[in-house]
Amino acid sequence: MYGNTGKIVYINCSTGKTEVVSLDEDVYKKFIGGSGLAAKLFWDYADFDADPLSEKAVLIFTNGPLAGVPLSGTSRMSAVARSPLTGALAESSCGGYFPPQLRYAGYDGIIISGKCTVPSIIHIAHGSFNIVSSEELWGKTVGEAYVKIKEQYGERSRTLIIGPAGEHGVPYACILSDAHHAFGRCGLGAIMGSKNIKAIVIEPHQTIMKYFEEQKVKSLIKELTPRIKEYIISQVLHEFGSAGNLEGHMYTGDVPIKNWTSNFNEEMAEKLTGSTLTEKYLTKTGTCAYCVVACKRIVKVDEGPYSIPEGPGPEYETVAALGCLLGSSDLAAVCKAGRLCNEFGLDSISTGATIAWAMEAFEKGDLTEKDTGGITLRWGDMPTVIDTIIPSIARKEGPLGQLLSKGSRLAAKSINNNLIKYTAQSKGLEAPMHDPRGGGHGHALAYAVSPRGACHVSTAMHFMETGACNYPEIGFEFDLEALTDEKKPETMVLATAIGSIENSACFCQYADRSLTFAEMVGILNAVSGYHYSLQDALDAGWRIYHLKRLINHRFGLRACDDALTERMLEPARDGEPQGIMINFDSMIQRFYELMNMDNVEGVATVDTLHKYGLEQEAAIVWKKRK
Amino acid sequence: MEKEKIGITVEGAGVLRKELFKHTVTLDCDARVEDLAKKIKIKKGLQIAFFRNGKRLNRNVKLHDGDTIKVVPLVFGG
Repeated sequence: MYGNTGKIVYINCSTGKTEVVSLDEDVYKKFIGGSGLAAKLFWDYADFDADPLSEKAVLIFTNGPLAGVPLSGTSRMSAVARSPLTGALAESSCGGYFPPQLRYAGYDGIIISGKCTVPSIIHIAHGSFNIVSSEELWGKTVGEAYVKIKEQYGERSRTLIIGPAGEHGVPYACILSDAHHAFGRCGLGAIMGSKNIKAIVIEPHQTIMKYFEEQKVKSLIKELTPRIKEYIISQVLHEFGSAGNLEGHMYTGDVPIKNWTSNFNEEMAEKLTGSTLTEKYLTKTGTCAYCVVACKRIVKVDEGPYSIPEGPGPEYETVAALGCLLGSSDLAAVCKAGRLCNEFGLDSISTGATIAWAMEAFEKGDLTEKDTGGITLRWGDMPTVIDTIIPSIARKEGPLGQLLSKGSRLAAKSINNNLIKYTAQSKGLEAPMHDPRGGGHGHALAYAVSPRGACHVSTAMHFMETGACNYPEIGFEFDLEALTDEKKPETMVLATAIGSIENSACFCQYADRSLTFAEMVGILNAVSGYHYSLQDALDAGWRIYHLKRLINHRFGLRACDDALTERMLEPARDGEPQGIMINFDSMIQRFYELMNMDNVEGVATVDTLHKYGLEQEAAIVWKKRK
Repeated sequence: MEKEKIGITVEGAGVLRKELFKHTVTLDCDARVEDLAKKIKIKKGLQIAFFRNGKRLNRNVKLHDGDTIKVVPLVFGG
């Protein structure tokens, strides 16, 4: 086997036993790796009746087949489970430095089940896995635990750590890699916490990867590296970070403001955009393994109420979720709020979105001081957000902490079903900070049909719709207008496959933007020997998408769950998209039709599933239906 | 006879803030957005859009003396 090692470790935390599972090459070819392989393993190993936070639940980490190859944007991994936030399939991806070390240790992934009797870490050294008691780390913030682990296991060890939010089972708790890179979405940190695992620590390994075509891989690295570095988007990301064009997004109406009630605020645009972050607070840039883009922000706020020491700085999503969405233009406050989310191990998108929902509900009188424990919620009140709300969510403390720690959908339901209309989510996952009403109507479709819920990275629609990439070799040559539904279902069909490939091959969606589709497939073939034609790769992408839909079907989700909330579909009230309606229903029906999906069950027809080699999976789901 | 001129204030937004400082461009009195686009220099490969009072302008929209135009790069992601 090339690229991949063919080995996955299964760890039962209840018994402390580990077992090496060998996988056939065919499984990799069918599901690529990363998110696709994890979905397949989830199908095979998950107890579909298990509560996401129960002992029986599984948490799966899988490398992409390219993890460990010294090429920008390829050393990433995926994590998959059942989400405690949504009840649907959870998935999230992460870069950093952990994935290549797992590959060099000789493994492509880890399946974790059971529950440790005491708080523990999983320690990986010399290719072996051990569960080590670590009660002293429980209760510590991500940063505190990171320092302790480094002291104990050495500066070169790499980590996946949860914070207090994961320990307390907050359903949108995240997992931080090396206290900076995040498996941000869907509450995977809570699952790790439910298994009493504070961290996974890997010590450096020295194994040299084997490539299917050694010389070709080397020449591709040599050819692609300068191109990735010089690409305009890479330059922007390096200089200004992922928030580099927040101001540009604002003018197009892409940035949701004050819980999606506004799409334009010039002051916020200027004060929160990435160039302001660079000018005022950036001390240096950070990067993932082997990446020349270096888009990560390291920031320091020297003085004032929001001073923070040098450390991880906010990405675009964090700036928008903890700034624009809350009605704040204070970048120092956003940096501090983002840092707090990191330290507590909270997904900054769901945190910001849930607080923003509460602020609006409070303003309208639907949420009262009785619900908040006497705390007044006001737009832009960052002292309260930082000093009171975020810490109380992370620890589920007090009425407000307990309410908001449920996430926006469940919090709304627990007060009054009618309050769901103020939420911006799909399948219970709070939408990321790109408003389809301004960013592009195809985003609305992408959010709705994404298996994990509202997500802009599970498909390539976000970039395809806005002209950031073009794939003529697979028929994507549409000249798209962002604010219409024209050709969006057709684009979505391709975007679904491309997104699945990106998330399964674990390409960084920034670094791979300058690559052609043929080059993406080419590097995959050269490293792993998959022998994919372009059509084979697309088919693998669609296969993975359909499998994820089948998993959701087994959790009870149907086509009716591919929905957006009222707030996301009402005409924008201001800015560039003011008054424009999204033709959502026709887009989604056309998409089901093009994908041969049943528009009630929300999964592909039996024939389609057979076409993609999912006969056994189809039999289980469709038989159950009958 | 020489055409009458108009003055347009141009300002880069987002990643163009540093590259395209606020400045005035002089154009013919019948100038359209397309003429402004030809006059300003930006990074190669960057798609841009033009906004006046928060509204996106089509390339054939006529400009007026005293207009302030935001030049917005269409770099997506984040």
